[in-house]
Amino acid sequence: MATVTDSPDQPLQDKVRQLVVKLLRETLNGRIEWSRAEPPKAITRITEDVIDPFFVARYGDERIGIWQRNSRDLGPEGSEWSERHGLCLLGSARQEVVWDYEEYSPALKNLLKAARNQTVRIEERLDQLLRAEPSGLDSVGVGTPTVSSDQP
Amino acid sequence: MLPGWANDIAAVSSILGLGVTLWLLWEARKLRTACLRRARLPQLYKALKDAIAVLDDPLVQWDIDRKPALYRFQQVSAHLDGLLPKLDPKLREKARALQDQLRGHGVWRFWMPHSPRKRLDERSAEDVWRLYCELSAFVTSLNNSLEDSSWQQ
Repeated sequence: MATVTDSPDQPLQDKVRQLVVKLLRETLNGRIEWSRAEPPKAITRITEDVIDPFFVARYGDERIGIWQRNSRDLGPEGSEWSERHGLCLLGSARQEVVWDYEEYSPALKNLLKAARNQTVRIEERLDQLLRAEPSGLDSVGVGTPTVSSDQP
Repeated sequence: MLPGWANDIAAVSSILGLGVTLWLLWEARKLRTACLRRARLPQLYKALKDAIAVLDDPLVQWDIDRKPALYRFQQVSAHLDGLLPKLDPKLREKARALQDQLRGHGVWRFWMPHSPRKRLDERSAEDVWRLYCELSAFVTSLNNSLEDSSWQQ
């Protein structure tokens, strides 16, 4: 079951926020390894929402999932896009969500950014690009332009 | 010559009319204050959100180099200053508490050298990450408040 418990002294929300910041620190220090995955059905149950990206990692004895949900909500001036960030604890069975939490959270957004940078190995790829030599036009499928004989 | 009862009705009506006019003026003033208070709130909120979004990387370096994080915290503090007069009392209280943490005790240190409160640059990494957590929670509350108020307009 979920390790996050409520107590009268410290509301659940505060504990979740502390956990998010802890995960962010550990990720930025390279102590958590995230991988991209398909979001479980329980998270994508609202069909019009866009869940992207969804990352999973193992931390302690738990499997954790994080995601960004973009949804079209009805606002006073018609439908508007809104952004929410989520955190869940995954069960042992595939697609099983034991507990989940969602809110607009800058810390969780930064955690998603850190996980994305880690999974696409952004620093390594940028270093490679900085070291790379310019490739010829032919190698990317662009040939030398042909000049029509009709032209003056 | 009007009868006495007609004079009475006219007097009561004029008093009621004056009352209604004063009430309308009061409501218009309240509306104007609310509009002025909320003007630029979305822009200031976005600026604060953007400033907090770039805090995490400098905070990782806190034990090595504090300057980049302190610079970001100063920006956050400036945006909070701009937001303060536009917030409702509950959020204003939270923003003031955050400002106190961001500024440390400053001049009070001179009067209370043994005060347990530390300046921001004297805080540990644990402390500044806790502050980051509180700033993030404040932005969440502000976001919820803005979403609620968009329905009230």
